[in-house]
Amino acid sequence: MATREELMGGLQFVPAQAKRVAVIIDGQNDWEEKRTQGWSAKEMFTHVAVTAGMIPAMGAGMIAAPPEAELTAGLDIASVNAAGVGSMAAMDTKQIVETLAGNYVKVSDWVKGLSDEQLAGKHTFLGMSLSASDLLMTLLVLHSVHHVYEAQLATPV
Amino acid sequence: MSTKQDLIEGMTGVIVEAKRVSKLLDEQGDWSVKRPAGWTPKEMFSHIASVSEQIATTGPGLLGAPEDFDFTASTNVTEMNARVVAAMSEKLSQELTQAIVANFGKIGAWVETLSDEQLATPKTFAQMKMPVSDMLGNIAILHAHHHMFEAAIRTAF
Repeated sequence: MATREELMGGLQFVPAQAKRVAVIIDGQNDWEEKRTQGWSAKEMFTHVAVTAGMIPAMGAGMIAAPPEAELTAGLDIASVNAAGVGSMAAMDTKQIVETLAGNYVKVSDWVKGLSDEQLAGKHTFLGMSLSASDLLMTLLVLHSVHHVYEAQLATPV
Repeated sequence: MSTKQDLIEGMTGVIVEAKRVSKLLDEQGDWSVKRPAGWTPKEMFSHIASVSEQIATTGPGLLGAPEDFDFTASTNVTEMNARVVAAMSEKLSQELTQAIVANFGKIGAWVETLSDEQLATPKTFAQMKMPVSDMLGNIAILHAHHHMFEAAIRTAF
């Protein structure tokens, strides 16, 4: 299980990497270029920003959910993702990076407010039984770095 | 550009995540379950282990390569990835995790020896020109997180 310290470190790592990769993408002038996964770099950064932004609002419900309740039940993830990306389409890339960083500050503050018992609580996410801390690590750190990695890559490796 | 400290912390982060995700996969009994990205978690860990071994062994040579030399231009990366993953199919998942931990430890120790000037030297990878530090940040640290995420989830989101 991810410790609170690991989780907080991960929540600082993501915006730091996003800012670093944004400089690379600026240098390549590559924000609008579609990647092989289907989104442009700009859309991937938007997705990361939106996902982090949703958690402080939705997290209380997630933490309160019983262990066996599938957290994504009734959720059309593809539609949520498309709507999220569309919601920030008018922003420029600097604004998106700033929003992403700001949302990570907010979600870090929200995580700080969770008790150790809440972080250890078991939940079901996409058919997997995970502690809340592992779920947050997967959703807010690994998932985000995954997209930041894809965003900077003109050619898949 | 990544600083030396960023890289060292990033390598440590990969080690922590590899152990954590490995434990999750043990708990889920999921090492051989194909993921949406096409590989099983075991194959993804094999890939991370082989890439990190390559970086640990060929990284010092990379420093002497001409700025415009692109390793990926003369290599069929897809074929190489498939071959290396197949070659490691007999390894146990624990051995793969241990290999990742050991390789990232070696890369971290090597990075410790690099000067700021060496880290700032521009190189080319996958058609992108960037400093050595950013190349390591991308192909060692982000790349490993990217595949650990794909290994950790049963359903893409």
